[in-house]
Amino acid sequence: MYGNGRGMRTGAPQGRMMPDGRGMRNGAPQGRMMQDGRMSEGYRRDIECDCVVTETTEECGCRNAAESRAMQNRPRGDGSACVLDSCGESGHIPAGSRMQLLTYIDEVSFCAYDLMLYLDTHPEDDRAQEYFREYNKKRDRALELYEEKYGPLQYGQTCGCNMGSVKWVTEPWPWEGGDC
Amino acid sequence: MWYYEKRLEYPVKIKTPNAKLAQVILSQYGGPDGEMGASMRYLSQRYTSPNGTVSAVLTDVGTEELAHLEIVATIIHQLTRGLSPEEIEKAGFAPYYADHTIGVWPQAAGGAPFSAAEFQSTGDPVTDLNEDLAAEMKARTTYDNILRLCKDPDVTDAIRFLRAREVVHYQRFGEALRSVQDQLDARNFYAFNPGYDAPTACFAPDKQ
Repeated sequence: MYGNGRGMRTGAPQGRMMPDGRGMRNGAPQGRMMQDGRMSEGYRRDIECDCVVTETTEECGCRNAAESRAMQNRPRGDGSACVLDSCGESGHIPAGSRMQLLTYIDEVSFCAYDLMLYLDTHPEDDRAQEYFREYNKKRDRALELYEEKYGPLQYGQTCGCNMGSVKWVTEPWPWEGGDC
Repeated sequence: MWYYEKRLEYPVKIKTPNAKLAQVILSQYGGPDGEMGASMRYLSQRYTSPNGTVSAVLTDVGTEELAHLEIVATIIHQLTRGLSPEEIEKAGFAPYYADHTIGVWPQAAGGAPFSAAEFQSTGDPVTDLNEDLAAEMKARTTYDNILRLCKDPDVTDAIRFLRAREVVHYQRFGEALRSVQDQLDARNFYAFNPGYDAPTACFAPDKQ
């Protein structure tokens, strides 16, 4: 990147695990030294944003941020209380209102998508794979429930029942905003 | 192949129209570092990708940029919705209005129409990925600039989400570039074009 091509790779911060499974815990890839023997400075810091790995709410807005939003937005202790992590196994989806269900779909979809992107460059991260499966399952179930109650979000992808073709056309479009 | 999902990646609900702000945010729709250019850049660059990691990152980020394009368009739509001609004139939005009423059209804040000249597809994955890293940072800077001009929390909320995603994409592109360099000779990464002179084998971890 800096012209001499001798061992110094891109300054872009790196994640923790390479696809080949080599650890990158301190950000310093083994055997990749600069000419004078120092590790490249760019590798010393892991960026704080690999949500699943570093569990920080900074920047990426993914897992923890979504969960804390979920906690703020949802009434607690009234039977519909639900934070994302506790939703999965019990099968509980917060569906008190259309807005609530759509917010839940937004959150679990974002988690699933961001994990998919992370897995593009860290395909052997077992923990991330597990989270991905978990959130994808939550997403599929919530999409199906949404279609049953309000009409399809992905036409032809789920049950295709309940006047889906009519509701695809007549139900509000995302850019319209409003309360649903 | 793509399917449409009838929701925004991040919700946008703007209560107060503001054509002046819409004019500025238009840049992230069709401006030099906007979402349209971002999506077209990544989706066009995929075809000379030297490994599966790069193909996956370009496809998935390029797809997410389409979702961001929709978020930005929604912001513009909701900021201009229901404005009277007088309000439009007062906000300095009349030149845009003359051509497009309140339709959404890809242009920069200064009025220059969207152009494919804003991005490259060089056919060299090392070069392209370096452009992609820069593009994410340029988009982040544009969002930073928009945030300094924007006081409406309904708008800043969505802009902050978009800004954060640029940082995540930058991270993934750094890892993608590294996956290319791992296939090359560290003594000279630039000896040849891995997307043309010596296309490398598809890197699929489960097939090794």
